Amino acid sequence: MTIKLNKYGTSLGTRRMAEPIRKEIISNLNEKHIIDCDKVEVISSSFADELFGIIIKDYGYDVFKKIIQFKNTNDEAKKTIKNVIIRRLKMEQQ
Amino acid sequence: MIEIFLSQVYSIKDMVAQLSPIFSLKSGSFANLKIDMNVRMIYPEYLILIVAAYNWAKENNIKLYIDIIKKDDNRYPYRINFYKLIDSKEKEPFFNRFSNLGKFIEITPLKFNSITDEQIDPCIVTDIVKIFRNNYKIEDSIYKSLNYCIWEQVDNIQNHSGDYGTGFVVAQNYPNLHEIRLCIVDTGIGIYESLTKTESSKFKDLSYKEAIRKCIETKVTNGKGLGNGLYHSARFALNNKGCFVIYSGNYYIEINDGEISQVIRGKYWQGTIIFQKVYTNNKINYNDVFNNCPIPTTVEECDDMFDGLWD
Repeated sequence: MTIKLNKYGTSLGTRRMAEPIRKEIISNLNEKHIIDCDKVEVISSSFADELFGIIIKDYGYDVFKKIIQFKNTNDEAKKTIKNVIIRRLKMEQQ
Repeated sequence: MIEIFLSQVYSIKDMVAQLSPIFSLKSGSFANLKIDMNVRMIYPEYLILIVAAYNWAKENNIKLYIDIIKKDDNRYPYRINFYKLIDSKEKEPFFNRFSNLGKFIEITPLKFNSITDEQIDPCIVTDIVKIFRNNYKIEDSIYKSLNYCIWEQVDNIQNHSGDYGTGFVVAQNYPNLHEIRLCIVDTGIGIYESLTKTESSKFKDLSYKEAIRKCIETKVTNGKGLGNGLYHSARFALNNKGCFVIYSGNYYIEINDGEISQVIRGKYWQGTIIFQKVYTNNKINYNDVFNNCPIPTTVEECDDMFDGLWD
């Protein structure tokens, strides 16, 4: 299943914007979700944490890697997502 | 009668002092609000505070009868929708509403509602960044990081306001002064409540004063987020040698010319005000602002753990 993030805007910022997308993903944990970031310029860490970080917190990083794959992600957005993942994993270890 | 004299306002603190009596009015009550607009230069950060306080009263079933005093027809308050947002009957004079794109954004409500799924319009942040792109010559990565910082501030409004609420934003470029002013305001629970009243927060024991100081440090969160929202904005202001004010409840902290003030006690503001004045002549060093803390910079250290995530 492909989720085109540009449907929600090219600059993605708040947790509330991310929440319904995350719910859509977790309603089907058996499927691979392609997160297509084409034309998305900026993803804030709040948005990324709500969308991806909470999945890691609730289901673990192994499940996250199994069900999520990114496509067309620009460098800045990639770094934000990576940082959110690292931070969530560190939080889980504490 | 609550009287506001814009001619006596020189700072956010002054404006809050004049508006603060509104927050002590009880639901179901009413008051006269006289606004004396006779001042040479009207700054948007003062008008947005009047709008936010007025709308807080309205949401809390407090009736404010507005009386505007003005000698000339300064069009600026009309152009940024000030009168409209305080339900004033002032008739707008005819003038061309030239495009604001890349120059300013009007006082704009940031409305959201979890129940009806109403979202804050993402274009608003893009439009703010356009003002910086048009008027501040900095490298592209800094625009993206600014975009990121502004989103974090907007997200804070939602975190401070429960399931639904309204904040306001305004931005203005002043080419002759070489500055861009940006103000984001809400009348939500404020920083202290937000940091201390969540069960999972590790900052539950902070005082009001400590909460304001803490919020510009890194990783300060009520447990819901990652807690870098205001940290990078403050670092940006320090590096730009601009002005940055965070005001919440009875306390505020300021950054001016690269120095952070003590936390200062002021009159009460219900919610949070974030005001920034960015000097467009001053350079920004990206590494100074963002390298000390991991947002859009270096995460190569654990790149192998991301194998398979990207196509």
